[in-house]
Amino acid sequence: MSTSPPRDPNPCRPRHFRPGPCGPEPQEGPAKQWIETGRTRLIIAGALMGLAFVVISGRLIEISGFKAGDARVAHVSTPTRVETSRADIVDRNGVLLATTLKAPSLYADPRTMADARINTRDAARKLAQVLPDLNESEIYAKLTSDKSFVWIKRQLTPRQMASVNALGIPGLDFQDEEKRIYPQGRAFAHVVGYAGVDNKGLAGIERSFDEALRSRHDPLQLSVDLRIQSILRAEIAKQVTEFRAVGGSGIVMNVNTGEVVALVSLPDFDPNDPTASPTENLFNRVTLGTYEIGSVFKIFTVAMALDDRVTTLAGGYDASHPIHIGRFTIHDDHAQNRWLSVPEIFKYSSNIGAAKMALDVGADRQREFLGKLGLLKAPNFELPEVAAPLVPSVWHPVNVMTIGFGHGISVSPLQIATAVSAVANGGTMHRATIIKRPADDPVGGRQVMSEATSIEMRKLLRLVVEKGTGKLAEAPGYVVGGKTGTAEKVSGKHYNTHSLMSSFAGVFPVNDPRYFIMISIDEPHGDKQTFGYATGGWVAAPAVSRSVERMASLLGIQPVDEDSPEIRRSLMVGLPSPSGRKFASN
Amino acid sequence: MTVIRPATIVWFCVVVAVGYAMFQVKYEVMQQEQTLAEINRQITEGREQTRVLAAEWSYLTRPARIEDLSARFLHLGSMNSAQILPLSAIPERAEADAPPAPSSATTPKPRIAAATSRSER
Repeated sequence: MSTSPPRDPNPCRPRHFRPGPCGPEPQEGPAKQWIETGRTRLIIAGALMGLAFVVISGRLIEISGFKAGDARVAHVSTPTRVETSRADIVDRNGVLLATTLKAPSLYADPRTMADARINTRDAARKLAQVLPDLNESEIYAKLTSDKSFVWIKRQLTPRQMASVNALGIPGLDFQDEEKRIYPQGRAFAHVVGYAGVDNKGLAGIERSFDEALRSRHDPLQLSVDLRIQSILRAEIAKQVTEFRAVGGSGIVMNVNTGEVVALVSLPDFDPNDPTASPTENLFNRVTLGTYEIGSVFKIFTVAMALDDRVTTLAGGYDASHPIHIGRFTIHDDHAQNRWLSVPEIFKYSSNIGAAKMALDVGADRQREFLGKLGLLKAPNFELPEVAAPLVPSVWHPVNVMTIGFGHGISVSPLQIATAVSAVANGGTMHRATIIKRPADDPVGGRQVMSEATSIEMRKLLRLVVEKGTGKLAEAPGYVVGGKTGTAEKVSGKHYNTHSLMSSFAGVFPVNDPRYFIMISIDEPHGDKQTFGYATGGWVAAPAVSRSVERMASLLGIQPVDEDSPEIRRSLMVGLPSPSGRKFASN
Repeated sequence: MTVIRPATIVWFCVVVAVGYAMFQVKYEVMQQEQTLAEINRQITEGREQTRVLAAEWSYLTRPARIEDLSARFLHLGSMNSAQILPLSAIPERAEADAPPAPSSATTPKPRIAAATSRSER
């Protein structure tokens, strides 16, 4: 064993390295200085390396020992999300209303096919068999063209794609494209709307939520219910066919939240192919159509008069003679020709009574009240197709009177729904919405009339169905209350007595209002069954009755016995007037 | 000739072992990643198929179609309110083995009568 030098001046020197025995000893002078400098540098470099190793080992121990659990694994570990350019739209129960699917498009490369010596006539025949909507000779012409790219068919279904693949013809290939699908077809045409080929929303929710649908991934949930929608649509369609009407519309709304549960406008279109229907079918009668709705408006007149204490349920007006004002004559359709109490005016739908009542309230207060109910300006609603009402610019007494029974003012059924909901639900005005409200979302609202007025109005609405013009709207067990309305449509400058707009607007169950329903039939023609009548009570009311009977259990409404004492008492009207003129009940 | 110290041999062995282990792990990881990518691809494909099936399901369960099928094959009428009763209207059984007492106190009597007469038909 050789002995090492007594003191090693360089601690970084590897141990097993020993300078040769005959190596020259470091010299004095500049040479020694250089060596010293070199050694110092070596020490610094070594120290840095050592430090780096310490850091790395420290990190290693940390990761393997203490953070084993949350180590970030490779970023490829999650499966790629199915990227679509538009989010789905679903109904309130999650049923798919609109979705985007991959739809591969088939193209051919005729040059490659020619190079590969494919029998193009045979290939064209096979393709025409698999894709029956294509013409064999057209395919043949495409396959023999001198191009390197021709479309054979755009947007194939998965099944068609599989069968084309099964043919195994070289030179055919697919390009991924997307297609917007509306599985429910016509049912939600006016709600969901449709998107064009370039993926741009052109109508309905597709248009108003265009940006949102393109940026989000989770489906957009609407407040509509497929089951309620299809019941309402079927019942309206039935009336439209039976009474040879030009169209119809309907809306069901939750009176306590303002959510639209069903919205139907007929005639409608198939959103999968909107250009196949005439353009007028794209018109949404519920939100974009404004109509002189007729006697339904008496709901607001009576509510206004009761809320302003201009009259009471015991009060009344003389309806024995038509009113002549200017060139107009106001008369009653169900004329009683006598003094009528307020409930009777409502029950018999007396225009004279309603006109006098409105006049008693006065133009300013009428305007203010209708304004509070949102009937004088365009509603704030999620669909892009929303119309502003047609309101007279100056309210003369004649306007006050005609508006009292629903003429001279045109509003959309959506506005009627929102306003009647407020009248029935205790006097709280909710904003109409077609987007589902979260269960814990507090429903904001504005008190627009006293609760007492609302309770009185419920009684009057029930009276119309029980004993008045809306008897056919009765749905056993579901205590429907409502008001009929028949308006002559304006053609040119005159009202046309033969083209009517017949409606029924109701609430059920009216003793504890949950839902509003309104059905309007446009230009119905009476038949034998209705004794030639085409009024709201004959045409729209039966459809409401059938709809309510079918949809109530789906809406979670338990049938009750209308003749039970509690319900009778809660909906009883018929106070004798102070002067002893008793309210006539028939 | 210098003597090889045991520490050197140990270190050499450790280096060889660590090197082997490292490559082993590396190849294993590569293989796992491949499997993962394959599974992810299958999941994506599955999700795409699910979307197609969801659309088809929604299409096939259109209420109009179900109504038509039901009318053709089931011969069921639409439900009316007389067929729905609250739970409280169902008579309670006093004991488990007691036979159901049809005449026990039920609240809305006419409704039950209407419902039963309809079902007997």
